[in-house]
Amino acid sequence: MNVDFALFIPEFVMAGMALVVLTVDLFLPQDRKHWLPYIALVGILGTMGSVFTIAGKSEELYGGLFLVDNFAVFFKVFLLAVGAFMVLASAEYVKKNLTRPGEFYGILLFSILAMMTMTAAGELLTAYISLELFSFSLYILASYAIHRPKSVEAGLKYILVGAFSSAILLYGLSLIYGSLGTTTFSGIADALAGNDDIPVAFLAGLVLVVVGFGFKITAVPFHMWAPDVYEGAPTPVTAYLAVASKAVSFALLLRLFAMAFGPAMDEWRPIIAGLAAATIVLGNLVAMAQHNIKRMLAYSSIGQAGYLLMGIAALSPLASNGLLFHIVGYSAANFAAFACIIAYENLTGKEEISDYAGLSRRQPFMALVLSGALFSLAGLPVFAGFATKFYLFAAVGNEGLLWLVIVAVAGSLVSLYYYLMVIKQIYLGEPEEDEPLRLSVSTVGLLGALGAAVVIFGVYPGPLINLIEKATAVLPMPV
Amino acid sequence: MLTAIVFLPAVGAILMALLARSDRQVRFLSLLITLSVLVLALVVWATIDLDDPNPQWVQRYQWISAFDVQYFLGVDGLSAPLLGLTGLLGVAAVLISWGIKHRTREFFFWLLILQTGITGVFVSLDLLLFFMFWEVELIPMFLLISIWGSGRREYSAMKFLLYTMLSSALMLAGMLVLYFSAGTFDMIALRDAPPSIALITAPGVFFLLLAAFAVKLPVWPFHTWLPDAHTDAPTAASVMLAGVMLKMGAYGIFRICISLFPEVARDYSDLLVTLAVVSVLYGAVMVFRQHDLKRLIAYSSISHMGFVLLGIASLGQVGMTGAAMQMFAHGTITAMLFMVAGLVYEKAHTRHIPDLGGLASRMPLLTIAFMIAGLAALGLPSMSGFVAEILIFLGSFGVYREATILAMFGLVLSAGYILWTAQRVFFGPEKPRFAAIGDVTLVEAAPLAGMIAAIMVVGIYPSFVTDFFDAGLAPIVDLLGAAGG
Amino acid sequence: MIELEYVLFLSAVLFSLGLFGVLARRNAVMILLAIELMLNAVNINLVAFTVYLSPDLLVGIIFAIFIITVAAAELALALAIVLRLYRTRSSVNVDEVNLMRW
Repeated sequence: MNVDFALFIPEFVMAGMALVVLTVDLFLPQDRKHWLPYIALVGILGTMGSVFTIAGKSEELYGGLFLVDNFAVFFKVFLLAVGAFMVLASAEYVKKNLTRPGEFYGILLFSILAMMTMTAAGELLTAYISLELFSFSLYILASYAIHRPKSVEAGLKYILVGAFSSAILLYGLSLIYGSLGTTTFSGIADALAGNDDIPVAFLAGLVLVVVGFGFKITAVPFHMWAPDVYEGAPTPVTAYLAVASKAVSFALLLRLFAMAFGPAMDEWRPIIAGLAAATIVLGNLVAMAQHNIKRMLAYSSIGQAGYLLMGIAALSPLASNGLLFHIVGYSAANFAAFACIIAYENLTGKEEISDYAGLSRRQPFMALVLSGALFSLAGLPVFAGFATKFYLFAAVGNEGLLWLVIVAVAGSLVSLYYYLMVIKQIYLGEPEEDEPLRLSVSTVGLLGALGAAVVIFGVYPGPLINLIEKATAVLPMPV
Repeated sequence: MLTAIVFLPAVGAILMALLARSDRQVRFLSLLITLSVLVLALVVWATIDLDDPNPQWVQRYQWISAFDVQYFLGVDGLSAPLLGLTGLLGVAAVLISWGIKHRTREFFFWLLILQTGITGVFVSLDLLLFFMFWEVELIPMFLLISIWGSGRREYSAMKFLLYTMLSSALMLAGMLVLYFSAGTFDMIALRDAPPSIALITAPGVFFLLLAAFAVKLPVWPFHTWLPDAHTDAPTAASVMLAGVMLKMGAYGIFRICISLFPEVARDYSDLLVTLAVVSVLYGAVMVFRQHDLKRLIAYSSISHMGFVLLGIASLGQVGMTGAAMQMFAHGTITAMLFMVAGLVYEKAHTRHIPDLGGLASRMPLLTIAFMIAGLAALGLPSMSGFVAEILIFLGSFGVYREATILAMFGLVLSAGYILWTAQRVFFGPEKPRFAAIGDVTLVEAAPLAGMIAAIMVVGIYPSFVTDFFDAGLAPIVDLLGAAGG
Repeated sequence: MIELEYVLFLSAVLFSLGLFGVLARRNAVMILLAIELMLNAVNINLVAFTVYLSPDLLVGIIFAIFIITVAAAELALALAIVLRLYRTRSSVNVDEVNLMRW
């Protein structure tokens, strides 16, 4: 087999940089540790540059094991951007709260590597290995604040649930392999399309796969670990969990369902649609009762997973565009919100919603970005959330799932309520102290960039949608 | 050009928030921004070609191509005067807020953002864009009421927000049904080639949309947010709310409900007339029970907006021109009344009418201003309110004789309450506790003078405005004629 | 040769035992063991399918080898976290891990 290793350049660069970060860490004196995030950032940006060497290509390596196509390239660039923001957002937090920064960034880079291979996986085993590498990195990152009991507890809960869901997922995969005799996505689709009636073992496997992924993407009723882990994990890691983990899981899910399970669409559509509805309803309702802002955002991101699941349930060219669009818009808004929360925690050490009282007077810029991000999550016009939700919902409606759209719109209205509660605190609450909060220049830049992204995707989504259309064009769609 | 008018306030607001170094600079920059918007709006208004039924100053770009959503702006005879009105009130709102001391920068920031939202509604010709701008004004208004308001401001702001959110969800649902039936959000295309509604019936969509506009207008029984919001809002917010935001509701009925569904409008015009008359009388009667000056004006607004609906429901050229005229007239008159009420509150520190009295001797200019606005509101000839009301009655009398007579009774009531209020607030014996207060300052008088000028000019030479409305409404009337014939 | 059904039945029983263990046990180490049981059920499945259905393609067996490796890494990682927890709380009972609500 003739393998063009040039197509692996981004992965090689990323793996190399992860090792470089770990190695440099050994030789850096304690007072130079703050160089590490910059090295990591250089690694991420370098990888992003190298991704452009494979842009536009469409190749299968190792007989469909590893795919290089526009879909993978789109997600690689996007996830690397998320990674870059993650490094920027966590630099200050890590310096203040965590020991051993070298491994933090090293593992972070490994998790990005795992995400990159996950978007390129065209086969079950590749997908599984990437998923595990990614999950392992997150288990470690979630429990990274080893001196904080909450963080260790979050790590334990995360790894127990993660390992459990992996086992279920694997059992499902083994049944699919057993019933169809292949593990490549395209092979599965061919086998399904060739069969008049779908084997029962495959359906059982499919259900188990959905359950396994349900845990990973926090679909109701497999979500109960998420709020605890989100609350306990170090805040930048929470942001990473809410954004990167969701985005990449949905990238994999979309590829899996479109490329492999497409011909069996009639069987799984009701299941996914039901899960989506339950997730939207429960996530949004429980979010209303939260006092901790990280926990509130955890539930809100459960609700968002429900919206994203709608895109899988509808599975049409438009719906997958909508799914990708919403992933990008949601990520920008959620990361903007988390960047504010991280910065606020760095300055005050507080994370209750009531602690945000009067933020607009102490730090008007942060108040504006946070409110914009929350409004975007709620789906108010001008912000990304409206455009992306509108696109996604309209596409889902096009597929005839109108009841689901109604549930989703109702969920969005409910979500506006709890976001408003935060915004009310920010603008109307009386601050305990009047002293203005000073943000570092890099934080202002980060918040400004994310806030601008939230608005730009909302008012001028054209170029982004063009890219997305190119990315999803490679996915075969059921007719 | 329209883009500039719409986004100048928003861009200006951001620059101002970042660059202005003192509250003084904030005020002057806001004034500068709103004045330039006013000039641009007047230029657009003046250059409209009345013989051309198509929208002018059009700007259109593909926005979300997969769903044929466009960035599509344009003005015609119907929207141009409203654009001008928004510009005028924007300036007035800035001037009347000159004395804001509390979180000044934020106040003007949100006020300017609000203006962007309202202006955008009047010039959008794409349903989704219309909806976006419709929602944009929510957040600034919510914050303006809840931070700078008085009384139960948080309650009122929340009530305003919930009413508007729920109604706009209905509007979005209606628009989506339209889209799924027609495949476009383009209002002009929808008007020229009405789609056959597939998912639910055409009246269903009509009422989904009408519900949103009726809440905004507001029509009885959807009005209860309005007195609260008006009463507790700061003066500038009341001015914008009463002056132009209520008109967004009426404008939506013209532009969307009636233009797209002329047959349905014809079928259900009895219902519209009934609601209109109930609003007129209910508002007018409720006015007599009010002790709060701003609340009183708020109820009179409900009554006056009932006239607008009556004019619309007559579905004829004269009545509808009257309704549009009433929108314009009410915009100037009520805005002015709210300014006067705000100034009274600022100086006398109370809006409780029984506590007031005898202010005329202390503040003669303000008294004159109130009398002019009040007389205009009750429809004294030579003022803008007269032209509007006479046109509405002329238009509706031929169609709904009894309803028109009932509504005229509302006008009689309004004469009663305006004069009664003037008597209780400004005349009568001078109270000693008001001995120290002074009259309006120059900055405060300027917007009042502007409003008086607008009221008088339009009253004496109405074709200044009516010609535009006539031309703008002619296509809609043609549609209605086709539907009725 | 033993029929495929019997092997699959064995694997299903093992998987269910593991599932039960995860849900019923409260000791973190026991839960991890139960998860191992589930993973081994998967391995049996994969190997059996390969041997019975497509003996010349080794996909399933390769899959199984990877799972064994990954499971070992997973266990090591989990035990490290459990150990950390034990140092702070002197207990590995998941019911007592309740700083936050489950």
